[in-house]
Amino acid sequence: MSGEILISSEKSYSDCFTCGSCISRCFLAESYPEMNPRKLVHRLLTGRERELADSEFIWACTLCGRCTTGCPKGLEMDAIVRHLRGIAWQMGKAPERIVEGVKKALEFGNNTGLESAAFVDMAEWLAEELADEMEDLPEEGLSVPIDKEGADVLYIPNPREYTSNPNMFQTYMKFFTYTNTDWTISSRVFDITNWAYYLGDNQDALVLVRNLVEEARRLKVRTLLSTECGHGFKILRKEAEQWLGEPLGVEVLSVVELAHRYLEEGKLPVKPGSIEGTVTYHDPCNVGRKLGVFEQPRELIKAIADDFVELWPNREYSICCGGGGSVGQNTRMGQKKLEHALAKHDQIIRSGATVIATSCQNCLSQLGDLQSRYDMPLEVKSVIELLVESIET
Amino acid sequence: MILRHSTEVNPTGQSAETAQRVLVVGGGIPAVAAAQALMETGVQVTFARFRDVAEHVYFDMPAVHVGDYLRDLSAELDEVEIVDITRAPVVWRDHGVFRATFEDGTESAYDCLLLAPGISLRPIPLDLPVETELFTSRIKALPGQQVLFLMDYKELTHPALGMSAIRIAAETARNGGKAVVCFRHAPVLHVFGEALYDSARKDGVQFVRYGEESPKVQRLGDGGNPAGFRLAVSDIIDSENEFVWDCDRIVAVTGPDASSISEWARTMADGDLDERGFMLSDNIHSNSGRSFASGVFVVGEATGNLDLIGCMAQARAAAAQAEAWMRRSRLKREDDFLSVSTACVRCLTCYRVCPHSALSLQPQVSRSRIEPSPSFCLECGICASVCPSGAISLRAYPEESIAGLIKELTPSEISGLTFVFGCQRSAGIIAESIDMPENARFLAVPCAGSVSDYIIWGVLAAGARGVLVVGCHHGNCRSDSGTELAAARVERGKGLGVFGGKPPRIGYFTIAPNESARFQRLLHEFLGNDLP
Amino acid sequence: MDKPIVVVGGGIAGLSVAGMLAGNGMRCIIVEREASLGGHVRDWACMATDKCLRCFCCSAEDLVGYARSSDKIDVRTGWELSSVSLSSGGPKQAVLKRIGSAEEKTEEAAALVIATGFEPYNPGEKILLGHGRLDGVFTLAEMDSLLRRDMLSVFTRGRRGLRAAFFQCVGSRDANSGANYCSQYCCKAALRMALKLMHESPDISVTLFYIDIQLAGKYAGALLKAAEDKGVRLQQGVPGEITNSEDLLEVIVESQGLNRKEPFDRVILSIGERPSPKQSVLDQLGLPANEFGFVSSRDPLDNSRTAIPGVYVAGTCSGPKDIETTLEHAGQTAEVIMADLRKGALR
Repeated sequence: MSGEILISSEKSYSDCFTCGSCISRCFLAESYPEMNPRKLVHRLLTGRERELADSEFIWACTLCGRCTTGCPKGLEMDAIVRHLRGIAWQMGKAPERIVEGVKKALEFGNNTGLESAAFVDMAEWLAEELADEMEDLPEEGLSVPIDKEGADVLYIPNPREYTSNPNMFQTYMKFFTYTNTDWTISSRVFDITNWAYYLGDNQDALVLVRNLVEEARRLKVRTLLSTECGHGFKILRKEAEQWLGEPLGVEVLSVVELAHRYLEEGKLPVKPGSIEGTVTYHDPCNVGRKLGVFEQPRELIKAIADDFVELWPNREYSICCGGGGSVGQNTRMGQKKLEHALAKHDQIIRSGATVIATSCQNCLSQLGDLQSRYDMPLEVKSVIELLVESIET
Repeated sequence: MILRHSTEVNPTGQSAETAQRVLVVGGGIPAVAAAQALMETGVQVTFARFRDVAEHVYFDMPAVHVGDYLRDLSAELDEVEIVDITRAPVVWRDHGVFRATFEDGTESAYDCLLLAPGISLRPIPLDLPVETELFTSRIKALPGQQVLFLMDYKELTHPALGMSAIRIAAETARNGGKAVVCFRHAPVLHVFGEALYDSARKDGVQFVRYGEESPKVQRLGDGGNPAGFRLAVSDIIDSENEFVWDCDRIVAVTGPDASSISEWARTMADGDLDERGFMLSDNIHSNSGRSFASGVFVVGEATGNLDLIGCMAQARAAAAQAEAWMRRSRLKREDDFLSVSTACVRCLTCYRVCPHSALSLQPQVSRSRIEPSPSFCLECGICASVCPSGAISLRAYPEESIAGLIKELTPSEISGLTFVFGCQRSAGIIAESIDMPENARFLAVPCAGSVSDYIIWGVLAAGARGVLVVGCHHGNCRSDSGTELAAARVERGKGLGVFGGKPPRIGYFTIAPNESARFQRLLHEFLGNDLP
Repeated sequence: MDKPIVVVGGGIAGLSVAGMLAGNGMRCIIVEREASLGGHVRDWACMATDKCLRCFCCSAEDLVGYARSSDKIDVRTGWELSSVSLSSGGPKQAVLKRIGSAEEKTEEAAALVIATGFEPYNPGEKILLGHGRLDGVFTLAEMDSLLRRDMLSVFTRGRRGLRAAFFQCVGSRDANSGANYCSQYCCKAALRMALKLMHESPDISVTLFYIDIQLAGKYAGALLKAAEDKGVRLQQGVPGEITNSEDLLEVIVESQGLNRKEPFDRVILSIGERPSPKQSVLDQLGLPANEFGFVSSRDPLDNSRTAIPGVYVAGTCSGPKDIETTLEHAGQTAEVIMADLRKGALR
C-alpha cells in the first residue's frame, strides 16, 4: 500500500533534462543561493539522497510546487521533496514538532493532542459564547451538531480554529448558521491536517486520510467538508482515492466551494459592496495551483467587494506565502519563514490592496505574521470571514 | 590496384547526345542514394567508389533499415558502372564536359560531377587513456559493462554520432550494464529525438553535463593491465560536487574531420573547408549540394553536420538539382552568348578570374586560345569586366546598354543622376518592388563584379553625379568573388582621379534581396536625400 | 504528361518543390491561402553581418520570383484546396476554392504535395516570461520583423550598452505543452541574431540561455564558434520567469553553483515550431499525423512520401526544420515525385 502512495513522488525525477526553468521560479532561490530545485533533483539522481535529507532546504521548501508548474518533463517537486523528507524522517532527522503532531493525530484524532471530550466541550462553549453575542440568531438557535448521522456535511476543522484562533471556528459556525447548512462535526476525527504527509511518512498519511473518510462514512454524510485548509483539502481531493484504492463514496468539498455553490444558487445572504477597501486574493498553493480552485473565491469576493485587484502573478503561478508545507509549524524554521516571504510581501504591497483574503489556514497564519512583522498596511482575512462580515453588515 | 566491375568503359563523348553522364566520386550512403536517384532518371552513372569513406557517423534507427532504400548497385552493373578507386581521379574541364582519368589510366567524359567525400572522425584526444575506444556506428550494445560515453571532449561531438551513442548507452543499460554519458550539449535531432533521451533516462543511463572544464579520466590498476578507469568530472548542475565514477570501458564520441579526399573535393567544388572539415561550397543562391563550381555537386555528410535522414534528403535533393542543371547546361551548350574575339591578347586574366571555370585554355605552340564553355557559364560577366582589350562579348554584360542609356540623356540630365548598379539577384529584386528616387537611375547587372572600372569611370566621365555599386553580401555572391571584386574596384576608385576638383562620388554596399528597407536607407544616405 | 502537380502551401517548401518540378519541365499549381507567397520566411530578416551568415532567409525572394515568372507554375494566392478525390494510383481530382467566394476550379492532379508549414509557438502561454506584458520582451520572429523593416531602434530605443538575453526552447522540448521535440532551427537562428545584433549595435552584450546548443545542420559549428569569439555569454539553463523592477528585466539563474539575480534590458524568446492547425482537407484525405500533430511520412528515410500514393509532404508540416533542411526536404520531395512519375507509379 505504501508503495502505491509513493508512486507520485517517485514519478521519474530521472526525466529531468536540466532545462533550469524551475530555478527562477523558486521563492527560496535567493535565500538559499547554493541550492535550487534542479540541483536537488540532480543530487537525488547522483545518489546524494542522504546528504539532501540532511539539509535544511527540504524543510524550508513549502512544497508549493510553483517551480515545477509547467515543468517540461512533468516533474512534481512537492512529491520529490516529500520523498526526501521521508528519508530524513526515517533517519530521525525530521522536525520534532511535526513528528510529535503526527503521533498525536494518530492517537487523538488531532495534531494538538486535544482529547475528544475536551474538544466537544470547547466546541459547545464556543457555540454558547457565539449565541450570546449574535443578535440575529435563527429561531432554532445555535448549536454544534456533534456526530449527527445523516447530516449533509461533515465539517473538518483545522486545529488552529479551536486552539490559537477560536474566533475562526466561530466564523464557520456563523457561516453554517446563516446559510442554514445541515452540518456536523465529529468527536473522533476533528483535524483536517495531515502532518504525516509533510514528513513523507506515507503510511501514517494514509491512516489519517482513512480516518477522515471512514468517519464520513460512519456518519453517513453526503459531503466531507474541508475547512479553509490547503494540504488537507488537497490530499482528500487529489490523493485520497488513489491511496485508499477505492472510491471515497463521499463528496469532498471545501467550505469556500460550498459558499460558492450557495452563491450560485442565490442562497448566500451577502450584501454586494459591503466590504470596503481594496481587496485582493492570495491563491494558496494547494487550493489553487494543485487543485485549480481559482475562480470560486474570486467570485465570492467580487460579490461582496467592489474594488478587487489581482496580485501578480496569480492563480497557478501564485507566489507561495512561505509558511506552507510544515514550515509554519516547524519550530526550527523560526523567523526564517518570514524572511523567505519577501517576494510575497513585495507582491502584496505592489497590489495596493488594503485587505488580503485567502482560503487556507496556513496562509492566513503566515500572512498575518508577515503583516505584523513588516507592519503592512492591510488586513488579512479568510474568504469565509469576509463573507460572514458581509452578511452581518 | 583498380577494380572495374564493368568490362565496357563508356566511350568518351560518343553517347553525349543520347544520355547525360554523371560521375559520382566518393562513398557512403549519400553517394549510393544520389547515384540511385540519378540512375532512375535515366542518367548514365559511373560510381567511382572510394572505400575509405566510411559509414560510421550515421544516427541509425533500429526500426528502419537503410538497406531498404538503397539498391545494391554492384548487382546492377547494366545500369551503373562501378569503379573502385583508391585515390581520387584527375578531373579537368574540356569543351563543356568533365574529363576524368582514373588510376588505371582509363579516361571518360561526364556532364556533371557529384562528390561524396564524406568525413572522417576526429581521433581520440591523446590525453585520454590509450584503451579509449572511438565510437563509430559499428559499436553495438556493451552488455554487462560499465561504460563511459565521453562526448564533446575537446571538440564538440558530431550530433548524429552523439545520438547514436545515446542509443547504444541505453542498450548497454538495458542489458545489465551501466552507462554514463558525459557531455556538454546533447544533440536532439528530428521530431523523435527527444523521446530517445527520455527512454535512455528511463533505462538508467546517467547524464553528466560538464562545462568549460574537461572531465578527467585516469586508469586504475597497474600500468600494463588497467583494472578500469576513473572518471572525475565537475557537473555544472552541481558544480560543488565532483562526479566520480569507476568504469570498465571508455568510448569517446568525437567530432567530424576532413576525409582523405576532402581536399581534392574542395578543389573540385571551388569551396572552402571549415575547421571541422565541412565543405563551405554552397551558398543561399545555389541550393542544396550545388557548389560554386559549375556542374559540381557535393552530397552527404561533407556538407554539414547531417545525420542519415538529413543525408538521404540532401543527396536526393542534390540529384534533382544536378538533373535540372544538366538539362539547362545542355540547352546552353551550343548557345553563343559568350564569345572571345580576335582582339584577345591572351593575357589570361579572364581565365584566372572566371569563378565558374567556364573558360578553358587551349594551349597551342603559336597561338594559345581562350575557349568558352557555355554550359558552365553563369553569365556573371566578370570575365568581360576584367578583359583589358574588350575581346569578350557577353550578352548579359551591361556595358553596351549603359553606353546606349547615356547617349539618350542630355548632359544636364546626367549631371543630376547617380547611377546605381545592383546585382540582379539582390538589389535587382528589391528595385523591382520599390520606387526609385528621381535622382537615381537603377541598372540591374548580372553580378556586382561585372561592373568594370571602365563602366564606373565612363559613367562619371559622362558627367554623372555619382556611381553606387550594390552587391550581394560577402559569402552570398553566386559568383563567389564578384562581391569582393566590386568592393575592391570601388575602394580603388575612391582614391583615384578627381572630377571637377572633387573626389568622385563612388559608393558600394552589400545587400540581400530581403533587405528592402535597409537598401532604401543606404541608397538615400548615399544620394544625400531625406528618407521618404 | 499534362496533369499538373498541386502544391498546397506557398511557403519556401511548396515554392521549392514547385520550382524544382517546373525546372524539370513539369506543370505545378501552388495553392496558398494567404494573399502573398513566401510564408513565414518572407517576414524574416537577413542576418548578414560583415558577411553572409547563411540564414537562407533571402532564398524566399528567389523562390517567389521564380514561381511568379515561370510559365510552368500557376500561382493561386487566396485559394485553398477544398477537396481531393483519390484513385488507387494517387489523387485524381483536386477541387480548388477561392477563399471568401464560391468560385471553384477542378484540376486533374498528377500528384498532391502538402507543404502547409508550421505555426509559431505563442509565448503568451508562458505567462511568467511576460511576452506581451513586459516591455522589452521580444520573440525571435518579432526581432526578424523589426530588422526586416530596418527598425532596430524599436528594440534599442536609442539605448547604449544594452544587456540582451536570449531564451532558447520557448515552446520546444516541452512535453508539458505537447511539444516533446526540438524545433531544430532556433539555436542557429538565435546565434545568428546575436551576431547580427552585436554587429548592428556593437555596445550590446548578449547572454544566451540554452538547454543544449544544437549543432545539427550546416554552419552551426561555425556559428557557435563565432558567437563565442564575439563574446556571447553562453549560460546553461533557461529561466522560467522574468520579473520586472522599474525597466529592468530580472531573472534568477544558477551560475557557478550559485543562484544569482541578473538584470537584463531586453529578452528575446526563441519560440518553437508547432504544427499548423489541421486543415480539413487533410482529414478528408485521412493523412495520419504523428503524436505532436505533424503530418506523418512513410518512415524517417522515406519522409517525402505519405501513406497515400501520390500524396507527398515537404517542409515543416512534417516536422520542425530550419530553412536549409526545409529546402533539402523539398528538393527530395521533388526528386521523389519525378522518380514516381517516371516509374509510372502515378498516372
